[in-house]
Amino acid sequence: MSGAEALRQAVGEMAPVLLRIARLQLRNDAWAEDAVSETLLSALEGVDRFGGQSQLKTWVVGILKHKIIDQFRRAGREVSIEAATEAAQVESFEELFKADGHRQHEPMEWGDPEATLSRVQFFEILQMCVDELPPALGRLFMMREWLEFDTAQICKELGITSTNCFVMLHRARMRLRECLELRWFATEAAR
Amino acid sequence: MIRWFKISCRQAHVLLSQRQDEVLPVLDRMRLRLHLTACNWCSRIARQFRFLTTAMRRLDR
Repeated sequence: MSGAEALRQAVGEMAPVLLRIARLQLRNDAWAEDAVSETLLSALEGVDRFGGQSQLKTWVVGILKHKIIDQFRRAGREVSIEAATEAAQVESFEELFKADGHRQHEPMEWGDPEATLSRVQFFEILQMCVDELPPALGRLFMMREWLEFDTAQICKELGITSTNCFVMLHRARMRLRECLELRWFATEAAR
Repeated sequence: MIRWFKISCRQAHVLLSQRQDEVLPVLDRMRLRLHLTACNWCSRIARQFRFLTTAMRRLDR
């Protein structure tokens, strides 16, 4: 089997993983399948140009990110209605603050970031916490932090105001830090 | 004058998140800096939000 042929086979074998990523991100099976088919086609066409400097998986996931972004653009309207609804829900983390706006409880010290990032289980917990966000909030957060859209672009794509964007991203971060603290940093696993 | 610059932890949390998403207006930046020099808890949140961004970029699944 030639080098290119082996690479083609390796790309093909990635399909289930790619589909899982796309489903989580898009939360719609038809869109996810479209994004993955397009990714596989581009990857297979591009295999000859793949120099091997980067990891094959990183390269293919990079293509998938672009295809997911394309799907978002096509689906923008539906996503934005859902996002606007969630933004309208009031949640100000009142229990976290005293009446004068100061924090009630001391946040935990999370320790050495690199040590945490070297743990595979940490990423499983992070994934779980992201998956537990309400769908529109999760998508918006993933667009910002995983697909690395800039905020102005997200607001424009989703047709939501920049104030709503910031409110939702703040809400997502607050939930995630609570979730990580509870499920990871406060547990034995973190040590 | 100092009243102008004083913000609560609640407001600081909002600015700390916003700072991950865009360059803050200069006045907010100053307010936040002043708050962080005096507030260890919010400084912790600042590190945690930054950490979250780093962690998400490495979430390759």
